[in-house]
This record gives sequence, structure tokens and C-alpha cells, in this order.
Amino acid sequence: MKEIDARGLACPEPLMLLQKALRYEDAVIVHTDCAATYENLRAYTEKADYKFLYRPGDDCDVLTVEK
Amino acid sequence: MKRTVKLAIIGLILGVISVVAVYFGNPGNMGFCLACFVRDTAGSFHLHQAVPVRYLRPEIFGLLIGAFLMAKGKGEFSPRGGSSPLTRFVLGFCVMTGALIFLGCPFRMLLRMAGGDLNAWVGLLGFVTGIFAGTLFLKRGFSLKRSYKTGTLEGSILPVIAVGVMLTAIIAPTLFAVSEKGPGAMHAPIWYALGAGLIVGALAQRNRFCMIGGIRDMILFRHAELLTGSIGVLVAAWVANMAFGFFHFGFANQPIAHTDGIWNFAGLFLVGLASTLAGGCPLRQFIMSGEGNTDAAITILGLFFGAAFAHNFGWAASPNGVPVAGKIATGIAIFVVLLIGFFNRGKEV
Repeated sequence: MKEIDARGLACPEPLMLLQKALRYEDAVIVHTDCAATYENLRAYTEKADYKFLYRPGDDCDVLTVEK
Repeated sequence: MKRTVKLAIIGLILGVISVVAVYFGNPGNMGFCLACFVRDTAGSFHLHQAVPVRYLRPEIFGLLIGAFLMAKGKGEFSPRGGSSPLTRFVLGFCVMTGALIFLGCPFRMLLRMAGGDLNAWVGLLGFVTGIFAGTLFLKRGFSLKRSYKTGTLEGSILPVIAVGVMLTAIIAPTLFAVSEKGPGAMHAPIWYALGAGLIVGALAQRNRFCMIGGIRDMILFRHAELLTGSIGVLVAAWVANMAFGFFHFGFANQPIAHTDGIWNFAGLFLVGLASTLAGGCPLRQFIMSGEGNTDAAITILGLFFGAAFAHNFGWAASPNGVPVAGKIATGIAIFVVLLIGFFNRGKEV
């Protein structure tokens, strides 16, 4: 499963990286420390009808997106 | 409540607040304008000597403080920086250059559109084209690299400065330059201006309001979510303008505007392009600064320098039109932003 380190990346870069990864993978893990990234990715996965799992962390949240 | 609905409601509130600011004394179609207000504040700080446009606008300080307080309250205050700060300074400088050619930031563009100013609709075409050009760089892997966590003091400096400036303005107002005529002499009372800024800052932080993001996400991802906020502003401001009798349809004789279509287009093309590469419109830069983002704070410093230079070197537009220096400055700024876009590409996305 591909992992994307989106910590410190400004929008829309995390979403663009996720979209690119999902062209080749069925599931992608995204590490982020930004609330806006979490919201953008969640909105995207809801619209695309993908599974979205969220695991909060102290320094970094882990988002898993599955087709 | 769905995010789309929340954003639309926020937009409606911002639109009404903006028009009421005009009722209370702000210049026409300028209830809220980040570019104009930074320019006026730069004048009040004596950074430029343009006599008609010097006034310390409480709105922008309210924005910073409102966003800061909301971010702190929600646990989203996240001091960080280091993502190509000098490049962002230059982008901020270029955004202001374009905005002072059009005579407004993207938010003022919406207010002018809602006021019947057809010149702003021409500007909108330029704005969308600029954002589209910016997305071409994004698709080719444009990135200003990561930001990194920094100290709480570092991230708090700009909001703390905002509080300090407002207190100084209240205690010792004569320190700051004030216009006696012109747009700088037209302003809502401090209590309304500061309050409006606080509310806009808090709401925009909570809901990620961004003029650039709305159109950019529509182009890149076919997401209309962020766009609903801008549409809300447009609709509410239009209704409020009609109610107050501020609506005036046409190209000519619009408040603080010129009718040079090519340069209205070009000015906002530059704003759209540079803001897309900077990651957000000027309003969003203020909000991010309130969240502790020092890269956004440096972009704001670029806005201030751009405003000071535009008036010190005579390239800012006026209702009489765009000076030759302004046309040259716009051309150079577009070229510089294209270079920034070209030299910061990574792998194609």
C-alpha cells in the first residue's frame, strides 16, 4: 500500500498526490498534520464513494483511503 | 450541516457585513478589500506618501486576531514555516501589484460585481484565467516545498503585532497618517471595522473560505464546495446593495474603479496566477497567518511592500486609469511569477 507523507504540504498538493496515487493503487495511506488536508481528503473520498479511515495522532494524523 | 451549506451561509454573512461597512462609511464597493486595506494601512505607517490613501484599517487587524482566536479555540493553531518564504514574499508583492492595477483584491472583485460594476466582471475573466494558468503549474508538480513546525512565539508574532497596533491606534492615533480626502478619509467607525474583521477572520478560519480555492478546486477536481462561499458573498452583497441603494449598473462612474478592460483583466490575471502558486487568496493568507503559518505572514509582508512600492514608484492605478509604469510593472510581475512557476516544478502529478 502506498504511503504519502503530506506533512507540511499546502493545499491542494496533498489531494493531488492522493489522486495520482489512486490511479495505480486501490488503497493509500496519507500522513498529515493539517486539519484542512483532513477535511479536503474526507470531502473528496465522500464524493468518490471511497472508504475513509481516520486515525488521529499527537504529531500526525493517519488517513487511509480505499477504493 | 453539510460543508457546502455552511460555506454558503458564511458567504452570505460576509456579503452583508461588507455592504453594511459601506453604509457606515467605507468607500463604495469596498466594505472589505485586503489589497486596498493593506495599501491604506501601509500609508498610515508612512511606508508611502500617497495622500488620498492613508488610513489604518482595523479590518485587517481584526482578521488576524479573529482567525488566531478561532484557531486557538479549535486547537488548530499550528505554528509552522520554512516553505520557500522569500518566494512567497515575492508572490505577495506580485499579488499586490496586480490588485492595485485592478483596484481591488478578489474579495473586492466580488463586491464590485455585486455593486453592478461591469469592469469587475471583466476582471473575473482575468482572475479565472490566472487561476487556470496556475493549475497548469500545479499539475506539472509545482510545489514550494514543505513547511515545518516552529515555535509558538514565532507563529504568534503577527497576531500579537495586530493587537499591539490596534491598541496603539486607539491610545495614540496621531502617530499614524490619515487622509483628509479620498478613499483613506472614508471609513466605518473603528468599532464596526474591528468587529467586522474579527467576525470575518473567525468565520473564514473555521470554514476555510478562499476565493482561489473555490475556482481552483472546480478546475482541478470538479469540486464546487469552496465556490459556494464566494457565490454566497456575491448574492448577499447584491441584495444588500439593492436594499441600500448602492447598486449602480455599468462600466462608467463606478466607485474607485477604472474602465480599462485590458488592464482590469491583466491585473486580476496576475492576482489569480500568483495567489494560486502562493496557495490562497490574500484573505486566506491573513487567515493562515492567524493560524500560525509564518509563510503566509511573509506573503503578507510582500503585500505591504508591494503596496508601498506601487505608490512610491507611481505604478498603482487610479480611477483615471493605469499609468505606463503600472503596465510595465504588471508585465514584469507576470514574467516573474511565470519564472517562479517554471523553476519550482517537481514530478508531474
